[in-house]
Amino acid sequence: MDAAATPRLALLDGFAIEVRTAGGLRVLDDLPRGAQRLIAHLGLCGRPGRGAIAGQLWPDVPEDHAKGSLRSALWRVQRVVPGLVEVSGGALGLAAGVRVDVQEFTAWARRAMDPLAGVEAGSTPDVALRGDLLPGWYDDWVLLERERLRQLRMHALEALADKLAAAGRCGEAVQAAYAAVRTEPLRESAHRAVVRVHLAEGNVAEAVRAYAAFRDLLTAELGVQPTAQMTELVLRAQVAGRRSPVPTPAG
Amino acid sequence: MSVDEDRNGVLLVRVWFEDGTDQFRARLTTPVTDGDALDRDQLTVAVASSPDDVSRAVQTWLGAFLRDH
Repeated sequence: MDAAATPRLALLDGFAIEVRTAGGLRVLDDLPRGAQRLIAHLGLCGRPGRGAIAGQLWPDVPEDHAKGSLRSALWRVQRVVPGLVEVSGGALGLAAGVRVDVQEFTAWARRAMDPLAGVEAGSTPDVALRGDLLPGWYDDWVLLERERLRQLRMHALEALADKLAAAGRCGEAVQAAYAAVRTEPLRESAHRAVVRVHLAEGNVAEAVRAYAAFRDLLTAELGVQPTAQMTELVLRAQVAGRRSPVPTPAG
Repeated sequence: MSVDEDRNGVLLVRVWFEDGTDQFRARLTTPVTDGDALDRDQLTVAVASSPDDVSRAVQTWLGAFLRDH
């Protein structure tokens, strides 16, 4: 399969296969469900054996039935997207060169969290800001991987926010920090990232507002206060001379 | 509450400690399966700041699941 024709498998924000043809980019997002599940599983799990794949995708039926469903799904895949899946002995896997957005995202996240890696020139890649893995899919193997990626995204976005702020790219830093907040609104480390970005751009008033908003959210949802680490972050900035009164709690 | 017409359900319990502290947090969610909820994939069942609150939330959810079936 030549590089130009190599499909790209998208699993974040939903299932799709992008195939470049002579007529342009063709997106396949309406494959039969069994074929989608097989392709997605291979995109996430590497090159498992047929028995393992059948057991994961069809766990509630007898082994022979599951293997028959696998053969049927594989036949459909090979008809609609020939060359996408390689069969090697008893194992199946995506063909060499097939790009998977989850792998691209994971590579980006590792770079973002690497303290020795600088912030990348240009805007944050789209893959970093896409949504959850396969929304609406409830298979166990999807749920577990979705949680892993979700955690990875949160940590990567927080690290990215700090790197962007240090590079003077505070507008992008705020976007990254708030994307982390959206992933888990009760997670304090994401809100601390927001506060740090505002402080990095010298905007103590905005930092205090962000702190107060998080404090009010914690009070309303859990009846608790931010940690001392969070509160001291804001108080230190105020003591440093950029004084802004902390708004009183809502209600 | 159920994922589909079968007798099953999914409850996801996320727990964490805030960095460098012993402050416990939790969010319990269940997949959204009705056609109206097109703008979200999960429904928050409960949030909690103690393990006991998490246990109570799980018991409440399980009780509702059993009553519905």
